[in-house]
Amino acid sequence: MRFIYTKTFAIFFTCFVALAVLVIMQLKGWLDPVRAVVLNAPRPIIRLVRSVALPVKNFFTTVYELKKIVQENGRLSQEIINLKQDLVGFNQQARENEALRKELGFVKNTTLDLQACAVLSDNPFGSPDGLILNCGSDAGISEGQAVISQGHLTGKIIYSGKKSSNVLLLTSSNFSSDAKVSQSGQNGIVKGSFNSGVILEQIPQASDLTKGSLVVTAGINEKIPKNIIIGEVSDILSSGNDLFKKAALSSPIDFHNLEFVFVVK
Amino acid sequence: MKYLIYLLAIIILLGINLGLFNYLQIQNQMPNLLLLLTLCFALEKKDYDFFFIAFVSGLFLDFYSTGFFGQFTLAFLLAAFFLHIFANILALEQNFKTLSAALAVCVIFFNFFVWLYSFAAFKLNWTGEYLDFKMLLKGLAASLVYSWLLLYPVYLLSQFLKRSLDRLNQRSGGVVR
Repeated sequence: MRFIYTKTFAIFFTCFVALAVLVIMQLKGWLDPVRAVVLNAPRPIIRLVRSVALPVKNFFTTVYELKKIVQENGRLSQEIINLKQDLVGFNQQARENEALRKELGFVKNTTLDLQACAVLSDNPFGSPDGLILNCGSDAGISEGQAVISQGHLTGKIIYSGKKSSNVLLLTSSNFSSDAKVSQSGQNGIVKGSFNSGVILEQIPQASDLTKGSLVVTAGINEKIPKNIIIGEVSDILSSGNDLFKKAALSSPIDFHNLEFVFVVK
Repeated sequence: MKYLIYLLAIIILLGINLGLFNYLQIQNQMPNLLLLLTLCFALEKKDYDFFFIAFVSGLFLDFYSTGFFGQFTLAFLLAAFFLHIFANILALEQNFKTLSAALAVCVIFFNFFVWLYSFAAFKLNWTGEYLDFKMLLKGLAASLVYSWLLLYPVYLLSQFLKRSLDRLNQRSGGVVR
């Protein structure tokens, strides 16, 4: 029997013709009422199934979103930590940059043989009046050498290791060095004053010493060259009855926030 | 009565399809439960009820779709028709392996016919748009996997329908229309 005479083909062909008629009816717009019925027929089922499916879907969506939120929270927390770390680095670099700029102005105008050193630590071993530098005898550093910052005397080397050295700050009560008043040339001694300032002593009563006078190194100690600025007189501490004049000096150096210093070789 | 039961089954499956699987899409694909039902009936050798199921299912989808009318009905009819012929020629037994293979062929045929119809309608200026073949291909794998996952439940439903109709047939003395 030929295929087109089979029941299968006959039904298929009938369906095909029916579909063709329906397509024409649809194009004419005659199927709109049928369409409305067909669209409404599964609505109760859809509503019923949706009422069950939607809460389930919402639940899993929330769980899924929660997981994502937790992951994102973790990622952002890590990012904050990284950014904070970066910020610390940038702040450090900014401070170093500022310190270097200040130092650069002095270094350009000096004839001294200077060794730049970074400050590894201040207040070493609990001592509030010392620094540890990252350069030592390998870089030509030896005990007694002057340490300066921004052209001002900051301290002196009290111990020199191979790769590091210890500095006694100008403000230490153990510090003392020869000094002179720049205007009069009168020699005296500078001493630290319990980590709070610098005192100029041993100035004869007869000599002229006024507030604002510049005090520099005298150059008596061979390891500390002369004319390094120590500070300026901020207050006269002695009275007219004292044997010697005594004055408080102020220095622009922030002794507790040093990043870089120079050692005079 | 028989066709009423089929119609009811189609409406229920369509409701589940749109109400449930619309929210459970895999790669923007949802299964076509009506195609699975048609497939299960089309593999029956001496039964032509699949034509009714294919025709009505296609009509329902056509009314729901925004494409040119008839694309789903014709695709359903053609896919079911060819599947039925192949099943008869190859004398396929109904087991899960056969069903899985038939499903793959059926889904591919169906998608191809839908695309071909919409493309022909576009070329004949009956419609201003047609389905993108690449998009169809892109979703084919997900569609196949999803349909395969739901094949067995729909197969069970089709068997249940057949058994129910047989029982009704016996009760009414062999005449269930």
